[in-house]
Amino acid sequence: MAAAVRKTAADLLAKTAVDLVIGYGRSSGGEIVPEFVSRPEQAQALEWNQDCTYNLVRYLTDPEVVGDAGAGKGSGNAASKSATASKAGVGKVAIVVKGCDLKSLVVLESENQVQRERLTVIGMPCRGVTDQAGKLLAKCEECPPDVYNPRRELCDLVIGEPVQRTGDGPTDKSAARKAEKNDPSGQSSPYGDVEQIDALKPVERRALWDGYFARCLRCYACRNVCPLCYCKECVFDQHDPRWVSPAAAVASNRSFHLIRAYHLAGRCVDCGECERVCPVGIPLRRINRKAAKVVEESFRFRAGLDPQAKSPLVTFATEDPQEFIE
Amino acid sequence: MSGSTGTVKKTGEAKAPVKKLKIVGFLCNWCSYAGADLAGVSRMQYPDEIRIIRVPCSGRINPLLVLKCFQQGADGVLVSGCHPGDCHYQEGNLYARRRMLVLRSMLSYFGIDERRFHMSWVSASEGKKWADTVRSLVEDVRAAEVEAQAGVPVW
Amino acid sequence: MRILERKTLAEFLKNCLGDSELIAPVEIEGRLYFQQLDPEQQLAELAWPAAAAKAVSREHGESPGATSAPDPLTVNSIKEFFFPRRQELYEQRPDGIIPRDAADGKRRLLLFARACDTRGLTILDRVFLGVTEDESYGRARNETTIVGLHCLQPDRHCFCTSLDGGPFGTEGMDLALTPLEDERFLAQGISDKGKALLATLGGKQAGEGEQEEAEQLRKAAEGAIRRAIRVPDQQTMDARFDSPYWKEVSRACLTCGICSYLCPTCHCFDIVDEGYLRLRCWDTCSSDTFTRMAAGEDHRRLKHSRYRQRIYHKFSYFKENFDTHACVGCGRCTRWCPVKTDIVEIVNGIGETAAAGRPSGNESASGRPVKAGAKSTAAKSTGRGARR
Repeated sequence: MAAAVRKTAADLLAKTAVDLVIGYGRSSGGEIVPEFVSRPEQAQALEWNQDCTYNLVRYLTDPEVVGDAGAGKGSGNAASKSATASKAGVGKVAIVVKGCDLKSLVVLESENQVQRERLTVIGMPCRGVTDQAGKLLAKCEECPPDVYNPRRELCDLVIGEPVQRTGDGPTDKSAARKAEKNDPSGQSSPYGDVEQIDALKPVERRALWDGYFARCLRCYACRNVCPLCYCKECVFDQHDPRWVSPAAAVASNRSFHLIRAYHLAGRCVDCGECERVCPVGIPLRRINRKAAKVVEESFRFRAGLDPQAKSPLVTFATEDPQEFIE
Repeated sequence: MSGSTGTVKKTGEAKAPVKKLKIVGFLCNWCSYAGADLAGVSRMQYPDEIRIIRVPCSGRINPLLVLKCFQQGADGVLVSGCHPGDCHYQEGNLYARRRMLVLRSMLSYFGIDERRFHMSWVSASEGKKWADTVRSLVEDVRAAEVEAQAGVPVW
Repeated sequence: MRILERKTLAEFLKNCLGDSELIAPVEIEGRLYFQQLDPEQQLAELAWPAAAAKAVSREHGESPGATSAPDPLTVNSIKEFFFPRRQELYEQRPDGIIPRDAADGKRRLLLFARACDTRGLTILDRVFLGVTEDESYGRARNETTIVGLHCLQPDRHCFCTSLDGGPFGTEGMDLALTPLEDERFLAQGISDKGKALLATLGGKQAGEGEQEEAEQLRKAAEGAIRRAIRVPDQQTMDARFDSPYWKEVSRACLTCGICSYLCPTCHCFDIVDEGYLRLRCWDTCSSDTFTRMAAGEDHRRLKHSRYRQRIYHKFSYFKENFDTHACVGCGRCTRWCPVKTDIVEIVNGIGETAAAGRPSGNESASGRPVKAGAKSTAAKSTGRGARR
């Protein structure tokens, strides 16, 4: 499949309006890294294998990568947009995505943060990606078929045939086994890891999370790697007012993680990048998935499925739950 | 309004002064604030440990404001607005309802006592409901205080 | 040089728990961190280094069961015990200043720090004990005895040997330990403090056999290091400052703080007020707010200028001011970078492109040399890549 990726990228650059292909390459140290290819002959640098863990959608909101190609639909007329884009030197952008990455692109599109018509989305059927020790990531063990085979209607191209995942990969059986492991009561639940924490007593929860927040360095890697944390001025960088102290301590770290999870409620698609990059091993997916669980159960909404959907926290329903309100 | 500080004596026992709670209430101008005002002019008695901040609408409340209160030492926070359908700005309270639900769940997930954060619908004519709301809020926050681990701050 | 039995050392450490703080590697959920040991645990949490017999060169891709007692580098360096992540300075009250960083008088023992970390500390000394002495840093340095560890298992990110260091270096250590077979250590007093400590620990004189064993281990460890950084001279660095190279090599960077915060030599900080309390906390030049001024101006708004600054500070300006690069080759910046930004590749590339005159046609947009039709060349034992 790597060869197919290289050929596709070279063709796109040579024969179409695509100016930049965002994919995976390899550093001279042997590691898989993000690769930005702008000439057909450079496409040979592209790779595809199970080390391709990164969610590259993150780069679509980085103006130093895509120029103004990422500018939203609402920002000016077509003529001025293309003028700006060519000024920045980047026209159409092609991007290699796994199914999980694609979901974050769906959210970006629904929030007008990308011009979908300027993107060429290259979907990659995926057998799962691995961690530093070569073990399949937890999120991959739970991945359903309509994600590990990216939805064709959301891609411009899909490389290779849909994969069949059995054995190591998820089947209905292994997904159930996994859910059972999370929730020994036997009722399989997609949010078993969150429910385990919900089941603790409040003081135990406090101790658990405070233990992690004591380790947090406030490096902001989780925020910076997130495709959906694209605010030009992040709330945590504001000086006036300053909402949270930048100094790493349990209380301010708790604020940081809670606020970030809150800002991602109904938006996070559980691509898992935040947890992958955390140097001190904070189980960040379990925070974002809690917000996702609340949103799904209370507002019947799941992020990353519909590019036209409005984020649940900018809408309401007349019958929204209010048992907690006096 | 009566205060609830000072020594609380049990039979034959002198107790240390009960801590005066710091509770912040965000009240929407059109309904809840008016309702609280009505409670006042009606001379209704309720705990004075709530400090009121008047806002145009419960929909104006950024969850960050609630967190800021806890960060700065509040023992409890209340957000109070108009009943659904009665919002002066049509739907502000409906946004607030969603936001506060998510916020409350996340606070609880991190082990912050749920009893410290309340939300209520109090209309301009519900002076008594206002007094009852504050009473139940103070009760809840006190209960949380009693169960709180010594030396562990709220935030 | 003396031979110390592990149990002798353990006994000594247990006795220290009463009146000293012990800082040592601790394993938490599969990763090693330097942490202050909890006296109540009585050393149970201390991650002892693997004995020599079990030390194998770590290869990514080998399943965890294949290597016994893997001995990776800690996530964090030791700098936070001298230059804390968050340090309260004083309170500014209406009626006066209340200092908050007074000495607590406790002595500290820092265990199993590797040569890269201890060398990093000597580099920090140039900043914090230089023209102006940072009081709390100086205190922490004086109060701490550093028992270093010779490294038997460099991994593929390590490059200490090309930066005046090495896995068996001793710069910055008071006492140096080499793990030998059978749970023994070869112990060497480096500083006066360390020699005095060694004298109290006892242990028999090291024989030729043991010294030879250590020598073999040293050669193996140095041989295991596969990367070398080649910092260009100042002239080349100056000439390359405005090159488009910097835009290309920094494109993937996420501008987080991992490289700065895990680096043994990075030392930038911010001064923050929390109410009345003024404190100092770590900051990173990678951050897009680092050079933001009061009026909103920012002379490093663009990320390539910040990444360039990071490289130049470490390999040009610091070298000029302090006669050493601000880098010890521990590899943490690459090892933990979310996108594996490779500092060795980037620094080496400055010189290479200069030599070629201009970027060659075979560079990808990221500035990396590419062989036409190249397949994955990294040797792996599990045959990964075949699965796709």
